[in-house]
Order: sequence, then structure tokens, then C-alpha cells
Amino acid sequence: MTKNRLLNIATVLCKFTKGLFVLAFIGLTFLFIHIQIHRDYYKDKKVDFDTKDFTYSMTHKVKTKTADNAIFTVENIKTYSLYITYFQLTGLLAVLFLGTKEFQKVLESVKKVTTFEADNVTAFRRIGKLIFIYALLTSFSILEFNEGGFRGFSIPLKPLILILLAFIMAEVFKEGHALKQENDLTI
Amino acid sequence: MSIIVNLDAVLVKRNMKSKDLAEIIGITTANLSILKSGKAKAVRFSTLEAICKALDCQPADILEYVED
Repeated sequence: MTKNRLLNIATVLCKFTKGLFVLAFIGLTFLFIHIQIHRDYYKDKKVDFDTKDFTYSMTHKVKTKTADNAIFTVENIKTYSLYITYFQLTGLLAVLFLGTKEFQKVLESVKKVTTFEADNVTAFRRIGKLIFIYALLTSFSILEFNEGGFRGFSIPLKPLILILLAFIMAEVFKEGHALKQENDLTI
Repeated sequence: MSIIVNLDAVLVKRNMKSKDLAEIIGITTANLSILKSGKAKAVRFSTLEAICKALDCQPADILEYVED
């Protein structure tokens, strides 16, 4: 194939993004361990747990005169909640890493002029499944603190559209593969 | 597949090797092998014509329909 600048840039971007995900995982793990060892370090650190994407409902709150912003802090987060959040974020990073890897495989096969191969059909199906896992992982948020807690739930629409697109692409590549085979096997 | 390729039998009758036929008709031995093994999805008229010319036979001598 002649040099395709856009494909080359996309491949480099995929590699760079994969590197970023690995770095983010290392940083997240460091933070996860650090929070547990030095909770006091986060005493004055303000973290806004509320996000606009989620519809939060407060599950419980101990009757206290303490203000909300003093209850919902990193320092007061329960260990099991910390674990859930850590595994949730780790899962997200893993899914994003694997999704990028699959996409990179597709790009590289296009560069090698082996576009309509069965591997690419599998890659797009895998991407679809990975986005589904991503949607599941981003649909909830559980945060429990020493004196209260809240749980969030949202239906992520964008990933659902992306799942559909990935599976449509898999079908397009499947048809392409069938056409290519027919052409290759015409003597 | 219900279309059987009897190219091997015709080649034996004509005492010709696959390699030689491939060379005469201008296709690769790999493609001829695909044709002989019945893996081919389609045969071009030009290829069929070249085979018939090289082997001095009719298309029916090479291709046979068998009900599944």
C-alpha cells in the first residue's frame, strides 16, 4: 500500500494512547495504595464526587451536624468502597487498552492490504463486546463513607450507539471478507 | 459441492502433468490445485476455454454435476 499519512498517524496515536492507559493504571494503583497507607495526607484535599452524568441518590447519611463536604471526603471513604472504585477504574482502563489494541490491529491490517480478513471481523466484534463492558462499568458508582454514602446510576447512551456501530462494522467486514474469498477463489 | 472437477482424470488420460498444464494455460500451480481440489468458487470462461484447448476436450469432460 502507498504511504497513507492518516493511517500512520492513527496507528501512532493508538500506540501513544495505549501507553497513556498503562501510565494511568500505574498512577491509579499508586494512588489506591497511597490512600490506604496515608489517609491523613488527604485530610485537606478537596475532591468533588458529584458528577453531572449520574443521577445520585443518597442511600444513607448518619444524622450529624457535620457538613456534607466534610463527610464525603477521600479521607472518610470506606475501604471496600475504595476497592470497588479501584477495580471499576482498573476495568475501564483495561477495556480501553484492549479496545485500542484491537483497533490498532485493524489499522495495521489495512496498511498491509489484508483489510477484509476474518481477523478484522473478530476484532470489530471484540470491540463491540468491550464497549458493552465499558458501558456496564460506567453505568454505576458506589461511594460509601464513614458517615454516609451514595450510589449513582446512569444509562450510558453513547457507548450503546458505539456498540451498534462496532457490530455493523463487523458485518461490513464479514461481507467484504466473503467477497474477497469469492474473488480469490475464482480461477 | 455438487460440481465435481475431473481434471485429474483428464490429465492422466492425456499423460500431462499439472505443472505443464498450469504453464500452458497461464495460471499458477496453486490456482490449478484449488480448481482440482474443488475449492474454487467459480471458473472463468477464459480459463475453461484454455483448459479445453490444452487438453483437447469438452467442458463436460472436466466438470460433472452430482446431486448431493
